[in-house]
Amino acid sequence: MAEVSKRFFIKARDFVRAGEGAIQVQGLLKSIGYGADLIRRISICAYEAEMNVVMHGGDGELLLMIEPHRIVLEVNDHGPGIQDIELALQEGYSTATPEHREMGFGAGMGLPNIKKNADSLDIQSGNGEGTCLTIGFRLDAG
Amino acid sequence: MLRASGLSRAKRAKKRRRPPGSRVGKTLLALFNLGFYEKGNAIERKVITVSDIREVLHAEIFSGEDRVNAPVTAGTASDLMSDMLTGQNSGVVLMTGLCNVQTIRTAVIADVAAVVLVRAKRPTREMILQARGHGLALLSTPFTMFTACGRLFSKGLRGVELKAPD
Repeated sequence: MAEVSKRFFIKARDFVRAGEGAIQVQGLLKSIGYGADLIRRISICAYEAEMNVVMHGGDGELLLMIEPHRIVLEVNDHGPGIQDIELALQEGYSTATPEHREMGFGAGMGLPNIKKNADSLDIQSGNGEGTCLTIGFRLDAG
Repeated sequence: MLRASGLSRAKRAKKRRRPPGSRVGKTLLALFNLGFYEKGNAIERKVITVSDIREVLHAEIFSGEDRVNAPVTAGTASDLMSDMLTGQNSGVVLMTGLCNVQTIRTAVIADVAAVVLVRAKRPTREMILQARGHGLALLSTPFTMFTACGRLFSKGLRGVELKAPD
């Protein structure tokens, strides 16, 4: 059971607001007083996941859950889903459009970077089924 | 004609312009810089301030005017925001040609100290508001990316790498 949970709505293709949820997550974690490295890792994962939803996923939501021994980010969307999860986890693989690249994204580093910064990552997705990322961080890891 | 104070008018004016506490700040920076002079293949580096960056790059400042003495530990340059989310970029200055609100959001998430837009690019109103809201220094320089990096490097600022490859 989460001691604190907060939900942020993510709108598809809204590049003006994209990333605001992650910045609010960062602000909340700073106000609680977690270590700088843990905040950096969680903020980066939240931002990468949020940008993925904005760019590829259709509308979705970012859920932050703070539990006694871990912090969990759950990111759901109603988009087309990931056809080949193993391929999507490879650095450099990208289905980004020129519009995404104009915003400075689409280098195929999003999911690999989430995996690198998280203590655990679970991806549930399928063709046309949307995507659910569950990203975990141990609180004893600092 | 010599004056009683022994200082010319220009020198006295310069002395008056010096912001309070800057001597203390410079001493602290000098002490901090000593910590980087290590043996082995560690890269010798200096910590500079946002104020130094503004001066060296002839830059206009749009946000962070009240934090010009904030230390900047290293520099990085990229138009690819994905790259800014990998590695340690906390406290660095980002030089970029990408001029949109995602530049600011990425900089906030990556915890960078300052963003410099190159080639005289002007930030949008939304970018300035976002930068001010998050205490991020935002500047614009007329220099190109290469020249801007070179000028800061020549002042002792180094990249994010702490050690040279073996």
